[in-house]
Amino acid sequence: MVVAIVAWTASALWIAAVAYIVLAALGPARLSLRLACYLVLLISVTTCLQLLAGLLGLLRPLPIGVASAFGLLVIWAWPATRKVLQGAGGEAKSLWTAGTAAWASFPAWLRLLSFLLVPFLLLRFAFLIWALPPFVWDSLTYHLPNVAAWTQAGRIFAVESPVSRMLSPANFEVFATWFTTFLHHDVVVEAAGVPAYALGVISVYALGRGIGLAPWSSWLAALGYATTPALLLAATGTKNDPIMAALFLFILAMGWDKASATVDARPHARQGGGVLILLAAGLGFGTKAYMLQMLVGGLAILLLARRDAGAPLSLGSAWKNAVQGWQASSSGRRTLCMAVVATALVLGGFWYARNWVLTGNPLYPYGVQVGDSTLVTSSDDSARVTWRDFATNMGSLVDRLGDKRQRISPDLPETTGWGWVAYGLGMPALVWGLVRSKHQRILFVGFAIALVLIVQASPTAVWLTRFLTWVPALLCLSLAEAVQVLGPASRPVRWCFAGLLAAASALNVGMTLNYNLLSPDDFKIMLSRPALEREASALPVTVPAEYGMALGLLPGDAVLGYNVYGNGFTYPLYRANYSQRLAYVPIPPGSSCVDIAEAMEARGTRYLFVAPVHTEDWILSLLNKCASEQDVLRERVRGLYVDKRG
Amino acid sequence: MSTNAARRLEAWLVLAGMLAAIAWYARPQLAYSLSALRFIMDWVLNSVVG
Repeated sequence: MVVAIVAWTASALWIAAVAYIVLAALGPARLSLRLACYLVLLISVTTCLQLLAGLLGLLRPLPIGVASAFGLLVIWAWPATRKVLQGAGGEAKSLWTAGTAAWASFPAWLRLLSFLLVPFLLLRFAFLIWALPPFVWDSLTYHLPNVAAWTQAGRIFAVESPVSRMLSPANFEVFATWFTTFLHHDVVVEAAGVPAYALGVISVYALGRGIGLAPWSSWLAALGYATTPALLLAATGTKNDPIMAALFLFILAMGWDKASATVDARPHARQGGGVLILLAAGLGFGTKAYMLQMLVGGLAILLLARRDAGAPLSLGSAWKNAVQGWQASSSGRRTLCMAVVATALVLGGFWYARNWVLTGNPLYPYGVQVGDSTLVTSSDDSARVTWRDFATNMGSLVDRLGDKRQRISPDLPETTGWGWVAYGLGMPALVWGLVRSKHQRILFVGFAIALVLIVQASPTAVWLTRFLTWVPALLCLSLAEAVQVLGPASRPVRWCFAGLLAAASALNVGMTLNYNLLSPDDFKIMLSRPALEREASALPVTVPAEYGMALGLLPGDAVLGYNVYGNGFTYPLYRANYSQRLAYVPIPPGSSCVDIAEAMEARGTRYLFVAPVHTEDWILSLLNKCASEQDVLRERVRGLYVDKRG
Repeated sequence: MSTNAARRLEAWLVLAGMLAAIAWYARPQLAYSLSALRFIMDWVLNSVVG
């Protein structure tokens, strides 16, 4: 344990140092944007180093710790990088000074609301991460099984699984391994969503400042967005949608800064911003392919903001700027730029290249259909660019607007999860903003383009609101501008705005404390166990009891065969400390009991786990029949079958 | 109407819009949000009382 903690600390320091060196060279001047850039760099550097370690088969505390310590020694010994690192203290101090000055300029009611809300949100994160194991559907189906398999094996590889989405782009999962590799345990894996959440909130603040809002109203927008239920639930639900939303908002904040008249006039600073935008886009594209649609919306905002600032729109001038910036740079800076661009390309392209090699389809498991022609073939779902699918998806989104159909829970069934602040306060403010504010109109156009393109290409209409967690940011920015412009006109109105924001924020956060789903008994069950024994299989919210019963009986050193269908849970089977070895046992239609036993033997196991809802019904019936015949298989406990011949 | 009076009217209109939007969103989300808050209160009370 001591080695693990020391290695984890060394890795954290190494990542923090590398990210700061890049920030010092390429980061923008404005402090809120610098903070957002630093977070993007921390996430990117962590993802890249974990990916490298995983591909080399070194995803273990000792190799990572030793390499990190060595890296720290090298950058400390080299005078140029040491000088940069010595400046970090001064930068932190100026950030603190600017932060406290901004805080002092906030209205008293906003300071009070922040004083109550921020510590409460931090406590919520800490408590839920510590108290509960992962339990959200997609996390147990395909996000975390990758994390578990890679942490267990100490390397990153294509895991054999009946769940085809295990081969989806997996930058978030690689990032999450940083939270599991050192302890070899999932006790803090839900913390992997917190940096994305912080990035999203800071990016809204930076974007607010970019569009000309005061520090206090930018903070109001950020605070409102921070209470969005869909974002809060997904952030501690080990889902990858918060990082996508955060990267989109970061790209908008950076893009607006580049496009506006107040842009940093130093040519090399402009270039640095472009490189960091590319890094964010690469990180996002290697997380979910819908970054592409987001980028189109982002580009529209950038062009409109540029036109609004009176800057030239031509590609020629953009190219001339880039060349000027390149020529004004030192060779060291150029090397750094190229390294960051290379990192962006690796993070953005690795999973697609791997899938192309493994399956012949870079977008596996998805295909692409445009009209009647199939561009990319897939046996699974396809993004279908047809009017009919667009109408279906848009209809599905419209049905979910207003969250009328169900309570908001982590998987967002039948809801958008945008919450009280966005709908109650943000929607009317947006209507006002579209009439009164040019900047709000520009943002609206870009957001609308991104939304329409994502809705168009979503393979499943039912779950598409998960990809729209960034929409409430626009509504919160509209709210902030409305409060800033209209608040001073009337004191009662100002106090009403403040009161409504406080009430809406409280209702938003209140519903996320138990994920709007868990009962007091669920918490009691988990809290009655030591933190390291809070197994995903023991939390009965989404996981059937069969998982816990089977793991309770299985000898610790046995390989567990399992059969689930393409959307079934495998993560709980790994156990919280990733000690359980697993083998997928395929059971094709027409199999006999002997065939199943032989398939188990071929996979090196005597045990076969199946569960209702997660295994095909006909397989459950067949196994029932096999167990009642008692020739080759016996049901040891509900859901766990043993090969009698062994 | 003076600029100030027009701005005040605009502010009141936006506020009225917000109240209407909250009322629209409150059904049925208020019950869900309050049930979550009730859960917290029950839990805290149970923990305190035993």
